[in-house]
Amino acid sequence: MPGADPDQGRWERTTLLRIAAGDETALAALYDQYASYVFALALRVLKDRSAAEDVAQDVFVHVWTKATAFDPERGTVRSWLGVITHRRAVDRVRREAASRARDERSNRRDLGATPDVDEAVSSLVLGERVRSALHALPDDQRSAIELAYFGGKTFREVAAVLGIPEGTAKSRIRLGMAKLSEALQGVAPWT
Amino acid sequence: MDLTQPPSPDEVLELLGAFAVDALDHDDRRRVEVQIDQHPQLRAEARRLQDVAALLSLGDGERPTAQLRDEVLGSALESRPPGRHLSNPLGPALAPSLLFGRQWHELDQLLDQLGAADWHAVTSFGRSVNELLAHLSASLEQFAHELGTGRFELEPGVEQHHWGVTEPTIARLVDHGPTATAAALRDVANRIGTGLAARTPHAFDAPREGSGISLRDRTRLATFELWIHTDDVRLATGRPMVAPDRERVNALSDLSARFISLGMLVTGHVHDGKRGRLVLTGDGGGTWTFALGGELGDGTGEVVTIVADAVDYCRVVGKLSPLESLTLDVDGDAMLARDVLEGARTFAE
Repeated sequence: MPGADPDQGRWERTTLLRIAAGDETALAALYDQYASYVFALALRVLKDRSAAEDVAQDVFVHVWTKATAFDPERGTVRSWLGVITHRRAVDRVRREAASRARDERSNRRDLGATPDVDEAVSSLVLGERVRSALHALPDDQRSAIELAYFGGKTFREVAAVLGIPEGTAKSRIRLGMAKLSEALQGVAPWT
Repeated sequence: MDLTQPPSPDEVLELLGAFAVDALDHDDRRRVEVQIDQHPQLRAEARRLQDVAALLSLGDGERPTAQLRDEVLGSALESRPPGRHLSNPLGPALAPSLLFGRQWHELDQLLDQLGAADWHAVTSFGRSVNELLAHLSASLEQFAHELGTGRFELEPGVEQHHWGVTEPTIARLVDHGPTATAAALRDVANRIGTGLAARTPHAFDAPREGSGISLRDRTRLATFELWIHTDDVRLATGRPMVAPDRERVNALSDLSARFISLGMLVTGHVHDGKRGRLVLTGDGGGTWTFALGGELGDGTGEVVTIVADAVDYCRVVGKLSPLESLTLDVDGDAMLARDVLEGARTFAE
């Protein structure tokens, strides 16, 4: 997204460098800045507060021990944290699903209904903008994105769930994300 | 996608939405990442869409419990102690003989490359390369003397400071020309190497009679001077400066950081009860906490944090680079930070 905030970007890079240098106060500062974001994302995927806190803890311990893996050329710290959080949350969902499947001698597990974004988004200004942007998407694009991001499914799995070709699922996600990008241009204070 | 072939940029572009919301399986993701690394436009687009994905859970208003913060920080510190840089998790563990030997090897090679005109080039200390290296030779001779493999005696009438005590050697070697200076350096470096190799590991940390610092730190001090003067010669003769490897940077950073409190006493900038934190970034860096020249008190005093690149910091502390050249971030009182850096720079004296 255009309009990147150079001060925020510099703070993020310096904070990660400090964490790599063993400065625990920098980790605390990063936690204070992003704990809610990491927790909220994990909660959206896991739908369990305790599990979401476990994931948030894993994420920040990962940052503390792997800070040099952050590449500012590839994105912001927020998006990096988002990727780590999402992956860990989805992995946890899948592990638990597999475990439950074994217990129940069942090969399938319903990850739950697609979260209703409208219900979850708070009254915060940014949240309202995100909700509006998501709501403005065509239903097919929105549901594909929600299944992928909050349901933890790959685009191939999204295609299977929706009964559409994989290429269509891929395109719906891509088009939906592009529209969201336009609609949310300049919204994120860190971009 | 044909998994046996690399995806085309167009195919990758089509996958970026799924990439941004983490909806690719492992193989697809790896293939996309390879293409993103190679194509800046794809990288920019991926970054743009990932920023959008990061927005999707924004505004949920969900907060973790307050105690999670302590749990996270406690768990993090259990998995990796603070203070040490990720590039050097064991801390400054390089054996003193290796530390000195690696640094000497660089100057030894540089001596072979210096042409006649190079020896007359002016260094940052305002002295010719020949004078600087003659000074270094004398300084190293003092270290060899301490190791029992050399002889250095103060000549009467010399000024009692780091450069002053080496002036007679400088005058003598410069009279004989660069060949004599290079030979003197090689000779003393060999004797230091012999002296260090003869020590048991225990000897490097044992108290030394008549000296306030351990032999380990004394070796680091000599190595630090060797690096700074070698880089100075490179700079004066139009060669690029060379940062030591991370293990040396860490050892030398550690020494200079631990010197700060004493340096602040030397400059008279004493701030009782206040603490400083030095965070040196980049390979070989680390984090150090120290008293600002006085007593640390109960550890709750004001803190000033200085963040800088480890190599740049060492060059400034070694007075190879001016203080004003240092790019740094300061959390806290900027004047305190200034006092810290001025104290740190007495290290070179």
